[in-house]
Amino acid sequence: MTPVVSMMLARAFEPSFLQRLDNLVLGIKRARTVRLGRRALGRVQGSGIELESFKDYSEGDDLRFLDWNSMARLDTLYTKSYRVERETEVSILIDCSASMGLPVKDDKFGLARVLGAALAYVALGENDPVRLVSFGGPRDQLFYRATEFYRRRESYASFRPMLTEIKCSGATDMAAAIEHFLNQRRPPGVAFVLSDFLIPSTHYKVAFSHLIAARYEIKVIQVLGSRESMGSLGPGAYRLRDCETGEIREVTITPTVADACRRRVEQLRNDLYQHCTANGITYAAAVGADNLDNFLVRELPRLGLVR
Amino acid sequence: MGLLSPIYLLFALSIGVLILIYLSARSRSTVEVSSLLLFDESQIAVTKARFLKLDLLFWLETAALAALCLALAGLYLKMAPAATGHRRRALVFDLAAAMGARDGGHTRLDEARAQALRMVNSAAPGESFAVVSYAEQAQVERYFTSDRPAVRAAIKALRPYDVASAPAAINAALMRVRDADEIDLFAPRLPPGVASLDRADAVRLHFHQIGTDENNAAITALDSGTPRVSPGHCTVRNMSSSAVLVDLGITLNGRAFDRAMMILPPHAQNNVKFGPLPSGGLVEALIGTPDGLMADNSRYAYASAGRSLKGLIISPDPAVRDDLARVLRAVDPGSIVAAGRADDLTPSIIAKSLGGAVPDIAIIHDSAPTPIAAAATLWIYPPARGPFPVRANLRVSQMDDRTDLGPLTRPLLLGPTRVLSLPEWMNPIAHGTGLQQPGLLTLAAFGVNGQGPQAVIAFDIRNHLLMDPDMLDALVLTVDLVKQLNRPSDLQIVPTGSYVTLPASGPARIREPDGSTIVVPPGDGGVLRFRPLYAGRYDIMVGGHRKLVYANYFDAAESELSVKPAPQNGPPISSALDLDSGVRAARVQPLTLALAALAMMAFLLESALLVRRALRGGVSLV
Repeated sequence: MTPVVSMMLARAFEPSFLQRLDNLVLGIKRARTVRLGRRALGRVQGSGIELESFKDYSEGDDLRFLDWNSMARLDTLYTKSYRVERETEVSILIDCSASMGLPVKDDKFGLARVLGAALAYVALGENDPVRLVSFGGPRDQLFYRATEFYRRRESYASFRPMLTEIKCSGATDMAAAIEHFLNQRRPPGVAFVLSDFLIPSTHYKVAFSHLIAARYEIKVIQVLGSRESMGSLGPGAYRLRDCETGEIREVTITPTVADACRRRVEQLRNDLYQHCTANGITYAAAVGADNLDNFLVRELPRLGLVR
Repeated sequence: MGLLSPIYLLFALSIGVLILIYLSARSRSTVEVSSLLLFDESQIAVTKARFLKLDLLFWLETAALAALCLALAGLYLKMAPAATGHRRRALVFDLAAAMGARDGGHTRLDEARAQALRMVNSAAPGESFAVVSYAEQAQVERYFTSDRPAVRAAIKALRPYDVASAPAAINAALMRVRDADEIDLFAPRLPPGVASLDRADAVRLHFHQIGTDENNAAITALDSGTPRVSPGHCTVRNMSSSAVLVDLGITLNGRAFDRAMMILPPHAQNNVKFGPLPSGGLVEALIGTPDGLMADNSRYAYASAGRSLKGLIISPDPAVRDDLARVLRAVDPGSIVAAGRADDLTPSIIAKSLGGAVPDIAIIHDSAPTPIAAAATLWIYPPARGPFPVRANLRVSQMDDRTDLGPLTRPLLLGPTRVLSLPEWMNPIAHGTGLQQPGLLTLAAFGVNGQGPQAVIAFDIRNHLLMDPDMLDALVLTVDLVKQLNRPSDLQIVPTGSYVTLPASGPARIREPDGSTIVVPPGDGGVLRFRPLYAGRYDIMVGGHRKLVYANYFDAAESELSVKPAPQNGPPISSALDLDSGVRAARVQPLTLALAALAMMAFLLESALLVRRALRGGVSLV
């Protein structure tokens, strides 16, 4: 791990940094009214504490929710409904493919890890079960690693070993990673996906469709480097090698070509944004490690990812 | 098509350097990126396996460099010559001793003549010929002419000389026919000067190798010894690669004295001892067995007569007088020597010392002429008031070669030397160079004038120079000059090719070794000067007096009669078949200018492309 990455990651465990996150709450659709006696969508927690409303009894309602006191006083059958205090599993998926390590000076991977840690910290504040998942690895060999669920902020430090140990390598096989993730048969929750999404659009569309089908609430954070988005290569002839596929392309960067490259980055971002919007997925773009504080404190609340 | 200077193809290495630069430039800019999706808009094809992509600038530079290399290497085209025309052909003949060697019933020169005559006979109308020969010096026998009978007569009149060919002579011969379209050289071996010819000249040159391997034995040296004191020696060398039988006879004044039969292994030599001779006189060694070359089968030497040599030594330095006396005693152990300073030696003292006889030799070191008469005089380091004008005084000089023996094994560093203006009748014996003295310096010379044989040594011999073992060449030179001066005035033994000077008041009739007689008028100062070019006896009648000159010949390179193949990088070798069939060498058309123009165009095109790129993509792309 380069010193830059170490410094970036170290910020995730600085008290001053965490202090700014203390007042944030994840913007997730947490509580739903559970219609008693019906098969509810999502995970139903039986009964809650907070009474929500009364309604007339109808045949088939669960007799356990019948309000016996009302029946004794009014001789009318009412059933009570409660606002269920539901816990939501929060999974934070971090892309560990080789593309996250480039350009080295942009430290995209460090930014993604800090963001993942920050989101985990915020989620732990609500006592939600939170886990970190990393995926990437060599071609045709999925590297998948996940922590166990933690529910209290006192357990935040338990994420540190994983965040420190994961490295960038291999290609991004997001669809396979999501498939592996869903095979664990966990109840649907919230999935944060942190990646640069520098993959063909069909790949992430397949991955998102699987998550949507599993009734996951998806939050996408696209992590890009500031140099990457602005075009880091100066004018000249280059032999470019894709760090994930090994494909080689000879390019002569001229001012015209540089403009075309910048437009291409914008196009890729826009494609992802359009797809997310169309499928009810929350999208945010974190560009540049220097903008971390601004992104956490202003951008995420603005987009409703946190409150 | 061919190359005039293939060595310059080494410049083609620059193309390799260009390729290295190109590959290095390509590998330098390899950059790993997070995804090639970011560069999809650049619309540039993926390149995976192409080693040299089509880069027009690179190929233009390669083409320009290749054209320049070929231009430097002298690429040329061979153009077919016109069937008829006014071509000028030069027939150059080697007339050195090896061309007189006999191959069967005829000499090598006969074979060369026959080839040349066939060439002349089959020549196209209008073709002109020049006949040039060389041995010690170049000679134009017939300049370019289309008069065939005259050319044939010039070819038939050629005769080989008993001398070695000089490298400068072949160059001079080629220089005189530099206008020729083709040069045909007839020689037994490729002269060293031709091998280093400019390729443009070498292409015009056609070498006709003459002769076959022949056995030859040669007398390389003959020392008469001292009559009745020490034996003489004769050195015989087998110059061939097979054993030869040698019948060696020694005669003294024409009478047989000794005879030796020997079988010499290949390239071996034998030192045959004879004598001591009973009396002085002319000694001749003669190989009686026939072999390839006759000129080196005889050699002459002179054995001084029985009488004691009477010498006079004049020098201001007693050490020099002592050294010179030792030299005289070495030449003749029975010699009588009178020595002293010029002022101390009066005629009476000399007469008393030498028994009243006239000195046979006077050696005068760093002293003015004296009125004392001597049969011969050796001047050593003569002062300005001496017989020879002094042009300069040198502190240091160096002796490099002797005209009779060739270059010294190593140059001899000498002390003070005087640069003398020598008269024409004196022939240089030793040459050298002087500090801050341009040109060759004559360090020793010999000649004969009305006062008898005269010799001069220009360097000082003080500080026991003659006795210094490291200065042996100086001692040998002195001894040789003393011996030469001590010979009878009517007899000289010289190497062939050297100049002979004799005092003459009128024309001289010279009978050459082959019996022919020529008449030579005297030169300026009443001195006859001629060069014996054949080995043997020259009988000279001048002013009613008879004088004899014996010319000895030996040259290791000429006497070696084996035919060595011509070097690969030499000019083309023509055979007799080429001459008979009338095959003509093609005309050479150099492509240097065309290639240079091609390179220039490539560079111009490259410049135009660079300007276009700079205008389109910015200067940083160029």
